[in-house]
Amino acid sequence: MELLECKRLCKEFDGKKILKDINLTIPKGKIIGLLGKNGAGKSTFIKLVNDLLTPTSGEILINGKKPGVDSKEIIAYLPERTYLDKEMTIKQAINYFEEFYSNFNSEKAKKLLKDLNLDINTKIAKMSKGMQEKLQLILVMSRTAELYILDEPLGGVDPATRDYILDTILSNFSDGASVIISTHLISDIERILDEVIFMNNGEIALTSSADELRNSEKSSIDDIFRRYFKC
Amino acid sequence: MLGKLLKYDLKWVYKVVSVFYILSLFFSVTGRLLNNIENSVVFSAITQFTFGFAIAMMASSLINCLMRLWARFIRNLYKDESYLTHTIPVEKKTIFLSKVLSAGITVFTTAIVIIVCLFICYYSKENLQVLKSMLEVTASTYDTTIVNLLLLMAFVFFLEVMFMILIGYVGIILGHKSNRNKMVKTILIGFALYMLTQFVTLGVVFIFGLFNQNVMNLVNTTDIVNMETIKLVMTGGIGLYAVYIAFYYWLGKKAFQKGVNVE
Amino acid sequence: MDYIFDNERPIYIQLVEKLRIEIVSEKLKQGERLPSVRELALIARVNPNTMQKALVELENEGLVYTERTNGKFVTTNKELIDKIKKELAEEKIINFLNDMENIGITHNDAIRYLQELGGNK
Repeated sequence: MELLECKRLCKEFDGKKILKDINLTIPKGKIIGLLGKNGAGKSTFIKLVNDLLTPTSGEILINGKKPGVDSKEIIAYLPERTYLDKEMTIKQAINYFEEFYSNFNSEKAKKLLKDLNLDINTKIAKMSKGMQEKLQLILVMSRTAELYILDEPLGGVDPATRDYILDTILSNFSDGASVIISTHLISDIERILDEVIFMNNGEIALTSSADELRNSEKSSIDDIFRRYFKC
Repeated sequence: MLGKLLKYDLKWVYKVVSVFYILSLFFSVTGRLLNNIENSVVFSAITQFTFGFAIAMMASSLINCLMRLWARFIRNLYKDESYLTHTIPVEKKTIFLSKVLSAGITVFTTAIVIIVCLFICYYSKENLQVLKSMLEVTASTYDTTIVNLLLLMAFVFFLEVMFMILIGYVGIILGHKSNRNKMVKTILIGFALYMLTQFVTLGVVFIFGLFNQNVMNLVNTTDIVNMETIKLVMTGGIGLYAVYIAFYYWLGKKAFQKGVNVE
Repeated sequence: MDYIFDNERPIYIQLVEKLRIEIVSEKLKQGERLPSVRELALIARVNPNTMQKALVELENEGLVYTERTNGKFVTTNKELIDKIKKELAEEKIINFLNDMENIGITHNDAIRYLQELGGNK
């Protein structure tokens, strides 16, 4: 039984096809890059996996089951936006995660926050956007999940923060878990990818092991991507 | 899980509504105290203003309670926060139930506060006599009977507010299933459901009136109605609203469980 | 270890190269016990799977061996280490001489420069 399986997945909005016949499998224990331009369908796909949207047709199975309480227990999702109640303090946000996720490690979260010199009594609304994003990353990575899904974790951050984010991902994802990183900023993260999935116009264009692709094309994933999707 | 969800839902609503509770109580008590100061035209005017503010605050409590509940429903389930609400490992029916229960609890406390404030403002022997004459009841009828009647009316009112909130929830759920003009559709659907239900109510009252002359009089004449009829109508109202609430709860739950379409 | 990787070549191969150098230069001593794959990956800031692949390669070369219950160790085979050190040195020398040729310096001149400038160190 695979960790995540999609069979003939389609999603339409008002007659427009956003995802067309997606078939893919995500195995356990890999870091996978879901790569594509803006509007390729990456976020739609991720939302479907997380039960924020319902498929028009086809199915998504996580450990053999449709998205539901069981899949939400083992998926740690970091969306592009701030999904915390901004009126909460950091401490209250930690409590929220603790209350609803049995596999949330609050000690780990508190330690990671301390490393950033963040006072846990700070109100989220008073934090800078960059700090809010780091907070969410910490909360997500402090969960012992089977699948981490990070949607554009590096969007608009400075290089130091980018390194911090990559290090946090590498050092905190639990053993045997898989990580899906969705991004259009490929050169920043390709170093840590096991496998890559190219998505374009709502379809899967290519799936491959990252190193094999580098070997066969003698280029970086970023260059291969640019060549592939030259406008 | 339900208890935890309720905690957060209630906290969010009470954050604003409790302010109006305090203001309502403040102006009610102040008004009542000022009312005891006689012999002054100035104070009399101030007292009236104070009572006016008290009423305004009571109304605001109710209106804000409704608005806050609907706003919570939309924000927590269909805006940015929904990315968290829909990805915690809780069943949709539990999430929906929490919204309904928090509505019940907050409306109930709002009703209590309003009733208490009204009592503080207006409860007196003279006022009760005025009420009795309005209801064509003998002056010797027990005061408790009148009070019970008022409480019965309050309960019907409570159910009606719950019903309105549920219609709002259903409107939001159905309106947000589409991709464009979500709020417009929400309001239209909510309004349509409300009007539809009111027609059903009229129909039921009419049919009932065919069997009961007193009820028919209610519909046909503008005379002041007697207490027995009022009690009958209230009891009928409770039954009817209970059915509506059950129906819209079922409808909302089903529609919500089908899945959401979060932007 | 702040490794810098070239995204145009397989990462695991670059890891093998870097670790090979660490072993040959005795930064990782003979017979030294290596940290776990996960810890190594963290230090090198790479994917644990990539580190695992690199370690397998090194084991195939004989520079690393696994003792089932105790973990991975650097080889104590001095001959092998010296052999690989020599191979690496040869590679670098050939590259050096080619680079010199590209700027128009003959092999003999290059060796002379080496002795003059290298001897100052």
